Amino acid sequence: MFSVVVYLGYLAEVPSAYDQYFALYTLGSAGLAEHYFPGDVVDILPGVRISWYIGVYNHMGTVQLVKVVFKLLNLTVFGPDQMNNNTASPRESFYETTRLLLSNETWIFPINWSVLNATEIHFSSSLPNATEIHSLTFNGQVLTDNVDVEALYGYNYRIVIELWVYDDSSGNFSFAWTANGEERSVYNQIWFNMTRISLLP
Amino acid sequence: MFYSSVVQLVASTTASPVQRPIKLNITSRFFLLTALFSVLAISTFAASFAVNAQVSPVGHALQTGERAYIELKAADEAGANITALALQFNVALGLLENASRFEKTGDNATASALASEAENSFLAIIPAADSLEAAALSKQQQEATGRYIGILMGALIVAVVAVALLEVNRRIRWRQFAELRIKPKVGA
Repeated sequence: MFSVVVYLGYLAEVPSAYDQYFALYTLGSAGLAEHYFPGDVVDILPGVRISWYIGVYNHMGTVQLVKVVFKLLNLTVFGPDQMNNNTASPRESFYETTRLLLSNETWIFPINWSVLNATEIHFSSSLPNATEIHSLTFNGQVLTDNVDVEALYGYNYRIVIELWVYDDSSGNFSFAWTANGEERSVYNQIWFNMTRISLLP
Repeated sequence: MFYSSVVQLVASTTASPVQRPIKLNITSRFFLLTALFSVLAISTFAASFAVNAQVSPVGHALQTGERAYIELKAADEAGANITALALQFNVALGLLENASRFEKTGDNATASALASEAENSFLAIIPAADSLEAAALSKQQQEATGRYIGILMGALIVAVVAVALLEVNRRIRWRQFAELRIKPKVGA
């Protein structure tokens, strides 16, 4: 009887299994999962201001240092790959922001961006035209590093948002982390087109 | 091989008292070039290492920030309330991000000032997180001791009560058995 009560007390002391995860989400201008582009037109023009909210939720059970990384890609540049050892996109980021998140804390921050300068490229009469982005305005800053991307006919650009987590053992940020004994990663990507550059004066 | 080639080269240049042009065979030339490239490569590597060793103010503040984060995490895992320190840490991170942007644009003075402010903030966090962790660990230990004593006492009380009940039960049953034995047979 004594042993049973001691065992029950021990069981009450042992913490129950905790489902560890991070959540990353992107919301539109109204803070909802809709209206990501003005007038819901994904074929944008330079100067069109786009507003999103980025949310990160920490359900890892402890405080975590996280970094949200923004990359501009086209269709052919490799994006993040969760099926292949959770590898991040090899493309360099054009913007990063870091934050310490308490356990169970949600961090939501707004981003406002627009394409500042893009041109249409005419290779030759036999080759299709392409659009090339040269610069962005992002949260009030003009960015030219790692935003130079071309896309055939201006189709299939994408902004990739990756979550990187500080790994205490390596002392570096990592795209993948271990949660409940499994390696995991999370990213968002939003596609857009820029096919109407030639219509600009 | 390399040594013998060098010896051969030295021998060929010093043995003869007559001044004559140095003749190098293919092997000697190869090893001389290899040695030359090795020296160049080592010096280039050393130069780049020296450049890397010079950490910028932003990089330095970042290293201090990493130390502060490790202390904060330890305090959090010990059960301390680190909400206020986390807020301070995030403000310092914001300063550091701005410093990094100024550094990229070449405004090193502003970058350095912001990085220094961020670093001071990180440096203030480290001892504060340390003391929070110590207090949380002490509290945790006291609570754990109290809980274990409670569990043991509870178990002991339950065991005593159980034994007492069993004893009472045993006595009642013995009495009933004895009463059955001494009861005269009906109709005897």
